[in-house]
Amino acid sequence: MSDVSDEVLAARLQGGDHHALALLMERYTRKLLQYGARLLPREPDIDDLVQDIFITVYRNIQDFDPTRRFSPWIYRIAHNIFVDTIRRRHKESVRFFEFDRLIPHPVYHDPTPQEKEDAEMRVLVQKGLEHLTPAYREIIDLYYFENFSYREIADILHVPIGTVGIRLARAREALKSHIPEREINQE
Amino acid sequence: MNEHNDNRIAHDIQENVLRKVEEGTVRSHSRAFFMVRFVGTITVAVLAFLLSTFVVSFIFFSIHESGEQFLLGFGGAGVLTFFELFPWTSFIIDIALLVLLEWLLQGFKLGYRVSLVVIFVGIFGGSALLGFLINLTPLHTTLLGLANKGELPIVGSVYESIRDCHASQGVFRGSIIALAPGQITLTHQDSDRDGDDGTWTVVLPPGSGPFSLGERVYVFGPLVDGRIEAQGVEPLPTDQF
Repeated sequence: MSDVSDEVLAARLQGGDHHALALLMERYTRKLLQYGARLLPREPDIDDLVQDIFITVYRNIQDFDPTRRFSPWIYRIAHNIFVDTIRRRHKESVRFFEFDRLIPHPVYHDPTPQEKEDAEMRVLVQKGLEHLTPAYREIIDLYYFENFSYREIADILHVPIGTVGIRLARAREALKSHIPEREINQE
Repeated sequence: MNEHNDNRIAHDIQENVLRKVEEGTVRSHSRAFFMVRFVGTITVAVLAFLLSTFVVSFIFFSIHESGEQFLLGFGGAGVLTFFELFPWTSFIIDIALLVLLEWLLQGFKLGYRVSLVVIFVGIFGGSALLGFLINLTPLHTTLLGLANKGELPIVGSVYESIRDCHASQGVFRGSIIALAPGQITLTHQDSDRDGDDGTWTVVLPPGSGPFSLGERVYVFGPLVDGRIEAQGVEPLPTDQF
């Protein structure tokens, strides 16, 4: 069953196959636990939240379109649950109004060569992620750890693609401002 | 978390969810549920847009019908009075409807893939254009007629407010009953609920007119000792009160 796509499993779940749910959970539990741990580093009950994500997936599975990719869909649900949790339980502020969604932005591409940037980003992310706001932590996580495209991140966060680009660029800058250059080069 | 602990947590999560599903304590919503929700959202969005369009058309109508568009040509004081008399309540209701519409659209790709300003300007522009076109139809004139006869429930008073007296802001409407060099005598006797009835001498600003007896005019200027020192006078269309 490992070669069966997420979308096929989701379609089987829509048909009432609970074994498909077990397989989907097998594939996504650890990923979502890590996503939650990075987004809510001080939350002790990430496992309860991940459980809520799967329950929400099951409740809403008929709303999923199997012709589209499953992973952005489940991450959209995870995003909503994690952000709600930050708003309810944590003192960390999450803006109800996102100013970077206000005006159109061109899709921003960092001119730094990808390979160098990836090595540099690994250091930055390991050392500096906790210093970022939840919005910046999340976009870094979705792009660098979950490997989603700009378009998929736009669908997960419900923001324009240009906003993904600008938010990612600002998150990188915020990371770099927290970690001195010499610490990056030492690694 | 070590590897063993991770595995145990993941296993517990999966067991708990599957148990709830198997026991039936968690149920999946049907396709019909999502269809109804989708249709409901679209219906509310369409209603919000139509209502917004109606409100915008009412704003155009009330400005035209009250003659207050003339204020924009009466200098700085006229422009200030125009904004003072602008139907702000209707405008705020319209903005609230557009914000609701924008919020509803955020659930759709079309709504969130475009920046908030662009989508707001788009729906505001569409609503304003349609509102202007509705303003050209006899819809509001008919509703005003019903309001005047007391046959328009709920929004009747809103239509009647178009006729409100604004003498304190220096706005007068009426028929010319006497002409003299540099001045006219204006009267307004519609015996309606507002207090705009009266007869005034209007000192005309240089370059205004010529006017004729019986002509209906819109006058802007302060009332001092029964005389209006007009800063602007414009003839009203014959279909206006």
